[in-house]
Amino acid sequence: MMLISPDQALTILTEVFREVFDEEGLVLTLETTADDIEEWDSLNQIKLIIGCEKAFDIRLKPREINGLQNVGEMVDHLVRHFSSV
Amino acid sequence: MKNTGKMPARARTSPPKEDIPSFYGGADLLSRPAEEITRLAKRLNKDKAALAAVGPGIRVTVLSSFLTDYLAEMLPLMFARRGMAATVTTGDYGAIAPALLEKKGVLFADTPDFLILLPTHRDLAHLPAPGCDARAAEKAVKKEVALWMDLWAHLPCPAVQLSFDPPLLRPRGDQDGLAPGGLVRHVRRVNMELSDQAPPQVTLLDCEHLVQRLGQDKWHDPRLYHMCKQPFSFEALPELADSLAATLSARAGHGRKVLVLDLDNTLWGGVVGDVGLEGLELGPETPEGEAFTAFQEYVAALSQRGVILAVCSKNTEKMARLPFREHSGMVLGESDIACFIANFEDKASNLLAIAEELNLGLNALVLADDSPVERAWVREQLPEVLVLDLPEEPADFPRAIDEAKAFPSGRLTQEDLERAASYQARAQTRGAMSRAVDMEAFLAGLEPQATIEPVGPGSLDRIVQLIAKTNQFKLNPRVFSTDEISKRAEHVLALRLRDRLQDYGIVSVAVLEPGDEVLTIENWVMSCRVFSRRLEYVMRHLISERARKAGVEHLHLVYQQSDRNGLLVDLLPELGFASGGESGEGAAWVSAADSPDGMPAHHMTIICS
Repeated sequence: MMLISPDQALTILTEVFREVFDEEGLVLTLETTADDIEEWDSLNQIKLIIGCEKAFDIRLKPREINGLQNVGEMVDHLVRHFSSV
Repeated sequence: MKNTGKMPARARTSPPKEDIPSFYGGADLLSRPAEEITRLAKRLNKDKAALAAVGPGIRVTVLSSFLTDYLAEMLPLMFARRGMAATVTTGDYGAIAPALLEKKGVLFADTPDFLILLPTHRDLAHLPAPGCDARAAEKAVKKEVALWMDLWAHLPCPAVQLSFDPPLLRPRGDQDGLAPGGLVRHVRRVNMELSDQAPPQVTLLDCEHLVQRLGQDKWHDPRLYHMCKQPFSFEALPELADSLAATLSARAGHGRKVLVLDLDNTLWGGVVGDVGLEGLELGPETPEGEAFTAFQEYVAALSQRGVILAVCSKNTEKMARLPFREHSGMVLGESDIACFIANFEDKASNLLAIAEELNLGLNALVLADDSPVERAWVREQLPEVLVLDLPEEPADFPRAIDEAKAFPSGRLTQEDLERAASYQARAQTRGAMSRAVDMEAFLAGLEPQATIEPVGPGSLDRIVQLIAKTNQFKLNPRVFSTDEISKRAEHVLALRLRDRLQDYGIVSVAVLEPGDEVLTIENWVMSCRVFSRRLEYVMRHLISERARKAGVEHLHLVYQQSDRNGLLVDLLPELGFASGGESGEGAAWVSAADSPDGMPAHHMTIICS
C-alpha cells in the first residue's frame, strides 16, 4: 500500500498546474478554485485531469473530479485514493 | 543573419527552453513529450511578434467532426518550423458539410488561404453490409466518394484533408480489413478512391500511415473522445499537427527542395582521402557497406521525385569525385548531383554558395552530415537550413530523413518530376564564396582541449596506427614500428582532441629528433576528422617549445608529395616553413624554431596528461 500526505499531493498538483498553465511561479493552496486562475476553462480542465493521471500514475473518473469544489477537495480525493488502494 | 554576439554556443548542450525560435529548425522537436511541445506552442501563440517574424503569414481554418482546439493550439508551432506564420481558426465541430454548404457562412465571407478538413471513420455514411459481395462493397465506396466530390465542389480555397482513419475495432474479426463488407477494407478502399478522384484543390494526407507510425493506442483514445470529443490522445497531437503542416507547406510552395549531402561516413563508410577507394565501406560486401548503398538508393528515390541533390564535402574535389567515377558500389552518379562542392572551406559558406548556385533560398536546404560539429556550426550560422540529426547507424539514415518529413509533397507535378534533371543540367561547380562567418566564436564555443598523451601501453598502438593509416595530412611515407615509437617516446608528441561535443581520441602525432643544430620532424600526421579545427597550430607551438628545450634554432622536415597529401603545400609556409631544396626522395623544408607570427588562434586549452 502506498500513502501520500496532503502536502505531497499539493506539491505534485502544483507542478501539474504549472505545466498546464505554463507559469513557473503559480502557487496553489487548498482554497484555490477555478475562479482564481483566469485560464482555467473546460479545455484546460481536461489537460489538468490528464496531467494528474500521468503525475500520480492513476486513472481518474471524470464524474468524481467534476464535482470537486476546490484544490483542497482534489487533494483529499487523491489522499483517499491512495489510502484505499 | 543570426548574430552570435560575444557569448557563442558555450556550454549549451541543448537549446535553452525559453528561446522558442531556436526550436523551429530543430529536428528533434517531435521526440519531446507532448506536454512540453504544447507549452512551447502556447508561448509562441502568445508572442505575436515572434510568430510574425517567422515568415509569410498564412490563414488556415480547420473544419472537423471532433474537438480541434488542442490541435489548433499546436498548429502554429509546426507551421513556424516550416517557415510560415499561421493564423489558425476552427469551425464548429461536426460541421464540415454545413460550413461548406452554407454560402452565407463565415467561410465564404472571410475565406482563409487554406482549409484543413478532418473527418474520421465515424463520418462514413455508406457502410457496406456485413457479408456483402465485392460488387456491393464497391458500390458503397462509390457512394462515399460521390458525397465528397459534391462537398469538394463547394470549396472556396485549397484544402488538405486527412484520409479516413482505420477504426480500432474489427467486429468482423480478421477479415475486416480484407473481405467485402469489412469496415477497415471500406476505409482503405474509400481512401484510395478519394485520392484518385480528388480535384486539384484537394490534397489528401495519409491517415493510415500516420496511425501506423503512432500506433493504435495513441491514435485511438475512446475515453478522451467521450470526455471531450477529441478521438486521439494528446501524444498523437504533435505528429498530426506536424504532418498537416508538412503537407500544407508543400501545397503552399514552402517545401524544402534540396538535400545537401556530406560524403565521408554519410554517403559511404570511411574517409576516402585516408583509406582510398578500396578501403571504403560501400556495397554488399559488408553489412555497413550495404547500409550505405541502401541510403543511396533512398536518396536516388528522392531525386526521382524531384528533390535536388547537392554535395558539400571537406575533401579535395578530385578525391570527392573519385568514388562517383570509379566505385562499383555507388548508386548515385555525378550526373545526379546538381551542385558539387568539395573543398576545405567551412560548411556554412559552402551552403550559401550552393543556395546561390541553385538560385534558391537557404530555407530550401536540408543538410545530412554525420559530423555533430558541422551540424552545430551550420545550425548556428544558418538557422534557416534544416539540419538533420543523422543517427549513429547508417542503416537508420533513410528513416531519419523520412520521418523528419523534410521533403513533404502534395501532388507530384510534371515540374516536380523534371526539377532534379533541370537543376542537374545547369550544374556547374565553382569555388565557394567565403562569407564573414563568425568562425572564431564558434571554435571557441566548442571548448576544445588538446591533451598531450604520453607514449605508453594505452596509446602506443593508436600512435603507430595513426601514422601508418593517415594519407592526407602526412609529411612523407615513413612509418614506425611500436618498438621504434617506444624508444623515441620522449620525442613523440601525440595529441588528443576533445570538445564539448565529443572526444576524438588521439588524432595527431609528430615524431621529433633533436640534433645539435636542428630539430628534425621525422614525420607529422593528423587525422582528417579534425581538419579545420586548428590542431596543427597547437602542434606547431608545441614543436617550438621542444626546440627551445633542446636549445636549437631551426626545424627541419622532409615533405614528399603524394597524390593525397597536396594540402600540405599551402599549409607548410603558413607554419613558417620554406622549401630548402631537394633532399633524397622528397623536398627538404626548414623553419625558424619559433612559430611564425600571424598563425590563426587555435582557441584550445592545452593539457599535459
